[in-house]
Amino acid sequence: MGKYVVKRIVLAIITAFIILSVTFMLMRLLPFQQPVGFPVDIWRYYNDQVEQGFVVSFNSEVDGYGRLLWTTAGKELIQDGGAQYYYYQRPILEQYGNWIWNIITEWNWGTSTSIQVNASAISIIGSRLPVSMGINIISVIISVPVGIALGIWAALKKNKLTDHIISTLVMIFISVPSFIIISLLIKFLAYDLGVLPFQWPDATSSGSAKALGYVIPVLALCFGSICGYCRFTRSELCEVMSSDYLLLARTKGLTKSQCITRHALRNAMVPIVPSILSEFIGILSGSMILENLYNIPGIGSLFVNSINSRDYNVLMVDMAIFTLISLLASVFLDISYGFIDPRIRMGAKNNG
Amino acid sequence: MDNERKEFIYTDSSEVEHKVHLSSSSFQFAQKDKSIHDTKFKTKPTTFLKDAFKRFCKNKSSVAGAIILGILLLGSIIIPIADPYDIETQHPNETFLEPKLFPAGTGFWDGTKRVTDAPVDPDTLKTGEDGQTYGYPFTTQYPSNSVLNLSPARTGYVNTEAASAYGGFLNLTNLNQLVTEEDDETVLDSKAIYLRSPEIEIENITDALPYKFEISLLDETVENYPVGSYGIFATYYQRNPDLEENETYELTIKDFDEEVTYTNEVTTDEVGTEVSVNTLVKEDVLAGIEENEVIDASLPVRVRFEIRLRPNVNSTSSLFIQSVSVTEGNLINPDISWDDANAMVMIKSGEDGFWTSNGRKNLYHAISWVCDFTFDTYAVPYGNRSESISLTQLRGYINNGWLSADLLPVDEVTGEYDTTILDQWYLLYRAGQTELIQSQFEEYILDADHLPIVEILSISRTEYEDLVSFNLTCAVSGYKVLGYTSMPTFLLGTDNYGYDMLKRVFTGLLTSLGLGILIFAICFSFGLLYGAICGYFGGNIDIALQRFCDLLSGVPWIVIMTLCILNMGSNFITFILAMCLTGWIGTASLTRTQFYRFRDREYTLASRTLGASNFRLIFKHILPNAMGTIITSAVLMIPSVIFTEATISYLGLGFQDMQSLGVILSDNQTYLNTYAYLIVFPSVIMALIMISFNLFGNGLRDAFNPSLKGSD
Repeated sequence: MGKYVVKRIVLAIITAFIILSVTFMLMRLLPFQQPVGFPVDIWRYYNDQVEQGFVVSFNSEVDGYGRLLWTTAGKELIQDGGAQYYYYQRPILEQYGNWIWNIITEWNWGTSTSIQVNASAISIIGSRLPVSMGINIISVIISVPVGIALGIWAALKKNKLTDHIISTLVMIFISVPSFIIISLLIKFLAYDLGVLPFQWPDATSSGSAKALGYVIPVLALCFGSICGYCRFTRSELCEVMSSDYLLLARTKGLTKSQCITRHALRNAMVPIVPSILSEFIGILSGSMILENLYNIPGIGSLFVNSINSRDYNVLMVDMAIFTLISLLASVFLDISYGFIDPRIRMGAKNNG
Repeated sequence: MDNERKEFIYTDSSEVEHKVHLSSSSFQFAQKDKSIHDTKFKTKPTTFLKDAFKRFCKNKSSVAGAIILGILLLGSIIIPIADPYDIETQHPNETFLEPKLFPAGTGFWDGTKRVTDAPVDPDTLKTGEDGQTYGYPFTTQYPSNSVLNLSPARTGYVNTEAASAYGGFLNLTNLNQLVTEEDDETVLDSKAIYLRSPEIEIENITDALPYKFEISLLDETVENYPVGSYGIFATYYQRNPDLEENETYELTIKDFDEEVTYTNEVTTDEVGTEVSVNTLVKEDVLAGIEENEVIDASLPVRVRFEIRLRPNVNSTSSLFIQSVSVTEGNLINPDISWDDANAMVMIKSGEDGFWTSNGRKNLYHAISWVCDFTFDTYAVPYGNRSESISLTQLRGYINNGWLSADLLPVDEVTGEYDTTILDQWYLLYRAGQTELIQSQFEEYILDADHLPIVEILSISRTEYEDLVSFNLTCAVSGYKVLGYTSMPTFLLGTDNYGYDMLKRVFTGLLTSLGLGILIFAICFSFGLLYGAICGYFGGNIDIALQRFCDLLSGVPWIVIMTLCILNMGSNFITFILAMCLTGWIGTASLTRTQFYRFRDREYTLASRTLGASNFRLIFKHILPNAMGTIITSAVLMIPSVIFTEATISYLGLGFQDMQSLGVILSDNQTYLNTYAYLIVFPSVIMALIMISFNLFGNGLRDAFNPSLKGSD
């Protein structure tokens, strides 16, 4: 088992490294984006870039050295001794090397160009991560028990009216895209009834207003995941319920409830529990559209903002976060299967 | 042949012995001269696909899903062709028409919407037959022919710009927003907006009585109007007679922007709702001006008071002013006193050319006549209205053959409608015959379907010195002016560009479906091939190819989409490429599993032993068995592509030059509250597509693999 885990993690790290490298190259191939702000801020940004090794500065114009990105010439800047600086882009491979070096030595992932000029990208992400996580943790806490309970109920009443109603609702809510559900929730709960805020309350609003602000995002996230858990639980439980060993347990004289709690549910939970665990990691990434439509200052809306304002450095880090989270979740899923299901654990030992 | 009979003895069940005589001729061959094989099936043979189809048809919900899909697909092909309305050029006159199926006034799906508490234009107030007062709405947005089911007017509180409203508060809103907290006063003030008083002249500054400034504000937070910080200041200046009129000496600016203690007092206004008002008093506002600052003692000093509203961080800032007054000694200065908020004037500071700001003036909680009515949105652009028609237009109608040429005079020399005589045509030809032309106008109409003029309302003649001009006021039919021959009806309404939503939605649906099907076709064929190679050959090839799959599937789709779109722009080809980059992995891994399953079966082994080639094994023996499962999961790729495209549009990376469901939904997102139908209909279509694809997919899966039936 240990060997399998190590192998899986090493593979994930290699995958992440390759993906991030390709992403970095592709981002650097995009048309260069000038930072936004006063000349002083821009100057500070370029000096920072020189320090980080993405840009090189000269005292005069140089022919044949990459692209001229910016110059202090003609700008109203107080310069030491009248010196003027010309900033040139380094070759992409050189930038790539420096980028990795910066991350390893200083945990420096780059500098924002327009969202918060000269702020480090990782700090911007850090300030926004808690909001996304808060909403998602609450929605997971609500949706897991509700979803599993509904799934069990539907499976126990299989092919009866209850099951049909639950299954139909689940089918509808799983099919309707989340942004439609969010739009309709905002429309009816916030605009028409007027009981809830129609966008995320800002930092200055009162505690109760902030609490109310959680309702629509959490509901919007819950619908989908409740339906997902419900469907999954129902199908797993139905499969177990029709198995031979459950029939054996019944013939041995166990009551139906004993059968379900001691045999059926335990076995049905084998695939369900890992999916919940990996969902807990997935919550870090939040929901982009929800955050965008409800003006939630999380990392999902940061993604959209950084695309719209062409802040490629922040975008790069945001994408890296999404990539790492999805890799982590898949590794976690695979490993937790092994821990929960003894059969898989044995199989892993034989193979690896 | 030995024909001799022989005697045989046998014993029956009751122990009685029988004797029979048999010869060889007593026997005959069974099946002699017949080939022995099974009889032919009476029933028709069935194939795997036919069997699956039969099972599929038994699943009612899946059939319903398939039928809905078929209808939507058909609609998306037929409607964009059959619908005559143009969705390429914008129609500024025809925006936001509500969905209409039934005639206006029926109350449901009739192109109307209910308007409540609209301020009434006091000029139109009159007593109706039932003794109640009626009046038409104030805003020009609702012309009288668009107003149905008008309710009696009543007094009520409104937030309005109507001049007839009184009382209330002037809502000063600064729409500028700061990104971060700012300490720099010049930055703050450059984004502030100002309410400016008229000037007062003070003849002799030294002998002037003390001036007192008083302002009353609403002391409540109004929902959605964040409170702003405000300042009051007075500007003193003298006009220099040598300079241009607008150039002044600015003496000093006195800023009263300081901490103030508020006295809260509750006043009851006329209609009876209690509103809490906060009054701020500034005593002796002239005290700051020094005598030596005055440049020319013979000139009067001019004073102007201003209320400045600074911007907030990350939100707009608002101020609700009830009254402002400036008193000189004990007398209220008549120049600067507004007890009615509506009398205040908002000055956009940008007009000075120095200050930049944007703001709006609106009365909040003012008292006015209000009414409720049903607003027929179609009456505004398409209804009849009176319009002045120029001679150029008339000539155009005549040239089009809609109007008889007899109406206009012909130049007797050239035989054409000469521009030089246009102004005099009436004088020459129809002097004193206006009544006649009006009453006989119908005789001149050649093509009533196209001619926008319905009726001539008046012909007036104006003479100025030796120039005579004519003004023809006609009742014109709005839809004919816009080029329609009958009143247009938009089943799903129109959007902010005036596009027909029905056509737009179905054109978008076609793009979305086309995208889905195309990507499905590409990913399915590539995934099948890839998975088949992995699964069939196994070994090192499989391991190598699988590692590549693992790597690619580790990248979130959103990252791939973003990178592709940023690098290559958002268009159809980019989208297909980006989706296909990872889309095939699902099909490939499923195909691989299926191939592993069937590769080592006995029947495959038998076939291989008989010398079947790889090609034959794959395509004749393994693939047909695996196809059902693979195709089921692959079909579900289509709705997921539609979903992805919509998501990308929401993130602001959608198609720039094409319609698609996602583009429509994200475009109209801002009208969620005001014009909900723009969101509801595309959403319904989108939801229908998703639901029916899922039903269809479930049906397919059950049909191909009956053992899975019922496990959702």
